[in-house]
Amino acid sequence: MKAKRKGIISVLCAAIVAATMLAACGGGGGSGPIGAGEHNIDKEWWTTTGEIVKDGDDVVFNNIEIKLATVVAGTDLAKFNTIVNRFNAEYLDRINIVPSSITEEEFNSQVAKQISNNANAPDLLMTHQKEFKSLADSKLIQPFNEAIEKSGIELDLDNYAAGLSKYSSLNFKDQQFTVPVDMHSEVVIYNKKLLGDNALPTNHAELVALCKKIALEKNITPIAASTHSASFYRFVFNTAILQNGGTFFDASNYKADWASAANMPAYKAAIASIRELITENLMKKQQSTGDALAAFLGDKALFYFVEPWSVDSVLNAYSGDKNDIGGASMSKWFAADPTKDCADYIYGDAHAFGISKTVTDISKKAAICEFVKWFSENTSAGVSWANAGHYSASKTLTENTSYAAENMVANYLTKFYPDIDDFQTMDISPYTYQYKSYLEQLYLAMITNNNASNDEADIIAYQKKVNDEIATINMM
Amino acid sequence: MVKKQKRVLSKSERERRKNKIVAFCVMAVAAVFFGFPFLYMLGSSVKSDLDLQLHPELIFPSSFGEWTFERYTGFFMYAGKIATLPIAFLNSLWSTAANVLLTVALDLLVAYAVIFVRFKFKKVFMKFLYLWMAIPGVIATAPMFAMYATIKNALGLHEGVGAYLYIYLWLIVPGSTGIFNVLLMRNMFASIPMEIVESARSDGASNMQIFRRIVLPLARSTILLIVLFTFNGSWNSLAWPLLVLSGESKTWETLTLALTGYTGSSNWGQVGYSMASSVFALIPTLIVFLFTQSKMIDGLSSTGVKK
Amino acid sequence: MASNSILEEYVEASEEAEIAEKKKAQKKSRRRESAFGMALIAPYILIFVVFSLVPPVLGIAFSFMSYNPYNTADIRFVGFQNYINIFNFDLPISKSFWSSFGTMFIYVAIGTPLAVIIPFFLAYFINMEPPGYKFFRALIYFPNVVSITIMGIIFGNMFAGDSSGLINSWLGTEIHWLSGEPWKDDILRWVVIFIATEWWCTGTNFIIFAAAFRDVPKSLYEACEMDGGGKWKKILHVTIPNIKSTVTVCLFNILIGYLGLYGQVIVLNDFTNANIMVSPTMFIQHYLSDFSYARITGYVCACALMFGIVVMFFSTIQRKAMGEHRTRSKRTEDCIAYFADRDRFTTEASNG
Repeated sequence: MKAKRKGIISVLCAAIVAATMLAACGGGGGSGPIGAGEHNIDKEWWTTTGEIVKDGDDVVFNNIEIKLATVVAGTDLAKFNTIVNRFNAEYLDRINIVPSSITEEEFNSQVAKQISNNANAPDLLMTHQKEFKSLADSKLIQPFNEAIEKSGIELDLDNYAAGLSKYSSLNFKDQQFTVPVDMHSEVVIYNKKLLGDNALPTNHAELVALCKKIALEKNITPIAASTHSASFYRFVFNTAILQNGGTFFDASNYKADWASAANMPAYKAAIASIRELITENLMKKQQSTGDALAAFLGDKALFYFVEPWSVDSVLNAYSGDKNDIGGASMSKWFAADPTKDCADYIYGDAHAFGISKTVTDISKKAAICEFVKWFSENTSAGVSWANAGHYSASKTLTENTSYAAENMVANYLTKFYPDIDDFQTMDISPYTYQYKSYLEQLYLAMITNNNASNDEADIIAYQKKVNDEIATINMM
Repeated sequence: MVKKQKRVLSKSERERRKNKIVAFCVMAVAAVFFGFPFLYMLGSSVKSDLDLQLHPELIFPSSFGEWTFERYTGFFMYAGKIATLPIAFLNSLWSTAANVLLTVALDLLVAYAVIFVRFKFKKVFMKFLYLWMAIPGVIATAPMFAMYATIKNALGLHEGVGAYLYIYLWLIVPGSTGIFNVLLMRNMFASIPMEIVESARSDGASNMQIFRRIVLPLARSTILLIVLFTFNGSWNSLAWPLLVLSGESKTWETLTLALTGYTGSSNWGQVGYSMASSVFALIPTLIVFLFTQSKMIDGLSSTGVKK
Repeated sequence: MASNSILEEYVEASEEAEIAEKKKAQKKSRRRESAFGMALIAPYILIFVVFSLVPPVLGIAFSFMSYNPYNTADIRFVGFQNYINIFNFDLPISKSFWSSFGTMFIYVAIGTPLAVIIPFFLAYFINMEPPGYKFFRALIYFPNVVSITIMGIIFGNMFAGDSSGLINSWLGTEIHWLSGEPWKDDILRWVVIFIATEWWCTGTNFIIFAAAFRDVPKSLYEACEMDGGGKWKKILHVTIPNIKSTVTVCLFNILIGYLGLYGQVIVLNDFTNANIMVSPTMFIQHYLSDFSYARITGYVCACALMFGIVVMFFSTIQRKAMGEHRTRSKRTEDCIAYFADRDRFTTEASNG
């Protein structure tokens, strides 16, 4: 029996060694992680084949199929598909977009597997802006530059929200890897009946004063928000950090520097501004999403924190006059010093387009540009997408009068984001997932502690956690 | 006379009846525990989005107006078009059936060989299977996809029937060698009295005859058990189909994959849709289950080994 | 896996007699039989090697490399560096890996007995055939076919942390069922995990046990009854010895299955503890499936192999323990009776 086991083990070992040899032969020399800062691309990892056929200035597309992988899901996906169908109808026999949806958690690893193995790879990627850096570092996506140049289809970054388009290079010099699509964050809607003659607050002091007044007058908790719900902890705390002048990491080495001299006060001010609303009884500490909604629908709350894609549902559920519900902006609401430029910032996520490196045919690349351009300029597409709660990042659309006149845009989205250039996402880094998840945990720890004297220790502790994770990724 | 007999019987009969009542009570309690989550699932799937938010304490919708079947009708008409779900259903059906057949066939062969045939390396083979069960399968995902992709690209199978069959080969075949099923079948075969087989053999029966006349009828219940396990696993598998089928035509999707298109993380309806699609996906499983479950157990008592 | 031991011996004994009689003819037919046997398992082995052996072996090979599946330029052979790193307890990730064993073992220690006892008694009661027992049997098994995601959605919503959860809204409380950290304040989470696991997993063993109960010849119970054996005596002396082989298989599978604790802890958590690895499988899954950790794939594969070795170790121990049990019980009265009994039935069967 022992001999047999030895046999098995030796067979196993042999197999391992053989496989190791095989696999090791395939591998080239090791290359470390791409460091922080701007880089030049020494050697292009993508290729281009074929020629563009033009008819005058227009590119001729001949039945090009584009596989689009997107993180859009659920009811948004239905709306997204309708938009895509409209495009396909308009470009019948020329371009056909085939969308498929993957959950956000699985998007990167799945798409990366498919692209790196060149099997089932999507041609066009639509995911959150902050995810693209690591895809580019792994050499899985390619820039738009060549296609734009050769096809003459313009995708000028100046036409997009400044806070988003500045990330398009992903820190590769002179490259345009992504095109922003839209923006979303936690937003605020309010009850006009309860607001009465009062003006909407334009800074933190006004917010507190107004809420106190309303609370006293109407005997209600004026802010309905679920402080422990995903959308709240994902967006509101980060907005507060930005408004107080904080940053999420040190751009020179990608490490979290939350406890640095520059950031510590900003982080403390951020949590203090949220906590004040709770300690002053203007907002409940741990309201459930259902209770918050019930309070707002029952005219028992002035402000309601909600994801933009749920606004439509809230309006439908509201039994009173829908016009009594308006949109408000969070600009300056959490800033200790409202005079700073950064006090206007609103933090959120943004979808963006990127091209897989597996696309080689230049006509296909041009077709991708055509679709991206259409998506960011076509009014009906923009309106449909706005009704799904996604405000366009393209100035061509936001400055278009018929787009701006649309109810959802005029009464809500433009109110949430008065200046799209103030909309921010996480800066360029391959570790955005790590910052994001530990920032969420930091927020929750601090709000649960509810004790300002612990904040500093919490910030230091979570900074260590996130930097440990980053060190782990770079272990080898 | 009749009465008297009844009284004679009554002692053990009373005992049995008492047992049955006790057993019934235990089962009733168990039924609440095991059944309640299903009720919750069913209820949530027909609650309106608003009701899901405002009335978490209710199992079923709070009022008549809050019942919604939109999620279910959405499976057939989606975004104004007829959904591809029926096709996805057929894809799932044939691939699952193929997986089940292959698994059962392989398990029967292996179990028969291991129990009734003497051959070299038998013990090594079984021992290896036992040990290999310990290797976490997840480390295989990336290499497996790399293999899938390399062969696919080498053969140039990018579209058409060839690509479809190739993908489904990778959906069907890898799951068919589950070690647990082999052990289950082997264990069942081992419980077949060897004397029957030996006497049949000495009567000049061939292996095929022994297999068909003796082993197969006896193994029926275990086969059904494996059918159910495999059906369930294949029907519900998501991660791997997602990897090899995404980006392909919608009409190639499996049902479980197609249903994920209806659930998402971006709206209130998330819970409702998840529940509805799971109820929907459970229907075929329920049918298979209802067909197999009674035979799975009762089959054992009617196999001829004992009455 | 064990019930055949007696039979094997029996068969072997009869074989020996045969062999003595016709040695030469035996040799030839043996060779033919051996070839036949291997031909039977050949299809299985072929598929197994291609689809179930090669990919994990490649995974094992990765454990000796710095391997990034998405960027082949990143691949290089590093020898045992990954294994050295696993035992470098200064690395937070290694600490996280080893501490995940602790929580998993507690889970196994509590869960394995539960997963045998509960199905055992449910199967015992179902075997009394109370009215509607077919329905009950179906109902208890059915949660098994529900996918893990759905199980997570159902129980996650039932035990949601604020008043939007079903249980909390019933109790009027705001208990954070699913939050907390291991060894600190997450007892409730494990209670929920056990409840969910019992709901989800009881069925398989229940069905198997119920089938095994049926397999026990009624005559043995009757014999035991005549000897004045009560309910417990019947369970102890008739039921348990007779279904031991089944229990062995189940126990083995439960243990292996529970060592691989994954689904429940992935779906039943709060986002605050979603990044705390409470089982090695969770650890491996998390770091292998998350794109941002692609560069440490080699290390995680090494962790997976370490974990596999631990599982193998346990399964070997358990099988040994069960093996001893088997030899001892062979000589008990019950088994002799059982064997004699089976003999009788066999004759009946072959007659009929």
